[in-house]
Amino acid sequence: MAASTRLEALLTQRLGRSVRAGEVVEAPVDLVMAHDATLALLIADFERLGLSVWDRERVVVTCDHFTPPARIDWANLQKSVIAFTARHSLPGLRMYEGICHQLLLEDPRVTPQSLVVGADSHTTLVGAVGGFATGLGATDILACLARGRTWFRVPESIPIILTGTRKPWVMGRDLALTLLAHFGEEGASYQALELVDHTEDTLSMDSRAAICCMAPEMGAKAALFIPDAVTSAFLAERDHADPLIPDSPLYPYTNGESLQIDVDTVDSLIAQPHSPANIVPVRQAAGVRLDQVYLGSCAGGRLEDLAMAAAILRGRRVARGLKAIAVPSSVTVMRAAMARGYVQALLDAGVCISNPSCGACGGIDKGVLAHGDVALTTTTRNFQGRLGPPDSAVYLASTATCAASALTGYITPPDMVWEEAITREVDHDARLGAGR
Amino acid sequence: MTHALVLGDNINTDLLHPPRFFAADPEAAAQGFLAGLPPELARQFSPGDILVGGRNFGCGSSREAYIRAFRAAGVACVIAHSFSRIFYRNIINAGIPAACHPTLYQQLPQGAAVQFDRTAWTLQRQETGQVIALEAPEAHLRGILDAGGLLAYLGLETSHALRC
Repeated sequence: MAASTRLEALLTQRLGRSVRAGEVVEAPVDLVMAHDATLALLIADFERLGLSVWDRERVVVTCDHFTPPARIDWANLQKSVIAFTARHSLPGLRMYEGICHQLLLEDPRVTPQSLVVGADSHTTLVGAVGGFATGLGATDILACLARGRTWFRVPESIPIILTGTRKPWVMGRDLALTLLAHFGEEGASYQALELVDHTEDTLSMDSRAAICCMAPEMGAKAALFIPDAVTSAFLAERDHADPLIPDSPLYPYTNGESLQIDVDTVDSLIAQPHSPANIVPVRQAAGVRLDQVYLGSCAGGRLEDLAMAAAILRGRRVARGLKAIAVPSSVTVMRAAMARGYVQALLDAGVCISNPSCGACGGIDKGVLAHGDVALTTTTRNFQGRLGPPDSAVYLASTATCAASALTGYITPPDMVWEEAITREVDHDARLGAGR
Repeated sequence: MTHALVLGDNINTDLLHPPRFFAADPEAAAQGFLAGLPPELARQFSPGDILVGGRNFGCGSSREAYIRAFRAAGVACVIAHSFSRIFYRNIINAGIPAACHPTLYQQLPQGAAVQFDRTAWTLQRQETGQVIALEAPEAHLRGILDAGGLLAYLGLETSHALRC
């Protein structure tokens, strides 16, 4: 019987037998990722048990959460991670090169056929190129490092068909928030989202990454985009080679619900404190005074985001007294943003550019909030206390909404500051490949 | 006798263990146990007690600093309407039982004296004598729990006592 979802097809091919949703399977993985905050949690056990790494070439270790460390105890943790990679001769150490998931997206080993696990919930981002990627805790990752395989309950998949034409200020993040409004914090629990992009202008890889990144906030195990021409173009440019794109039939999706989203109906959305699923239109939250605007994290901070922020802020200044921070998601992204003048435009507008890293998003690095602060960010979560003390509050929105709000110092719908020139600049950037 | 600390829906990992307490050292991590919850609520937990929650318990981060804190605090088991997937794997990998019950968190009085039976997967209330049947994890996960955690289950570790 033919597979009814892309994930069933992927796992069927990998295991050489028919695999169905609901089964528990043990599967070999292609890549194991761990970062300075989570690898640090397994080192003592790994060494005590005298284990060795199953395949040194298939391990990616990033230093991105304490980057560079601002506290001695966290510097010590990072030191233990660097020492671990030296002791086990791991060539995959990525020092201060960017956020783990973004580095995987940029890694030629990550393809539409890949099965990737990472010691971080937002590993689902990697499904933007079409494979299976999910997050695990340190103990599961410890076992993966030693064995190169792990167990999964094969998830049911929810097909999501995107159609229509986006408004120029509507970004992938707004579509992620649309899905969060639909599913809530657990509506996609243990399931996989399989997205089909039939929109008029197609979504860039950057927008797809922003959507897949937010899957765990809906409870999902994985999210992926069915590989298409956008995938091919992205892989061809990334790898300087003709990509192997799998046949993607229209899977029947016999399990679970299906969802059609007409992006014409989507306008800028915002997640209010303290839940990423507490969604309203931005105009409903307009006027909330802000202490900080933060552009970055694995849910933002890519080239498309920096292009959008630069287009909105070019020749303007952020509000007086506002902490405006932009953190490119990787060194590759930052280089491109510098070459295209985005970094210059943001600096001129009064935005602090921090080095590529997870930054404030994890609540354990630069950019954390003060008592009573209200922040608007492109980060992944706004749980109470996530970015600072319990009495701070975080709103989540797209880069366009964040940049517009940085200008005024209040939550501001992007169309209120929008000009035709911004559309022209965003279109121009897209033609140059920003976000591809 | 152990007691139940009863919590609500969507109890996320930042409430269970706020990021500022992130540490690999178990003693340091233990400082953050339930530190995102109102202090008067968190104070009611004593070693050996159980946590009872609602929907999507443990949503959020994969960071097992909270597992260190759970071990150090002596959490005997967690019973929820439903669990977020990474938390569920993590807590079972640590050998801490996790069971489901659709309405327990709405029925059980705060601080109720209870006895968890991990063989029968039941919870007995001291006050009423009522025995409440719980939904046990599926067989494969019970195997991990019975072994004392994932590392022992996989034969990577032979002892039941996992060091934090």
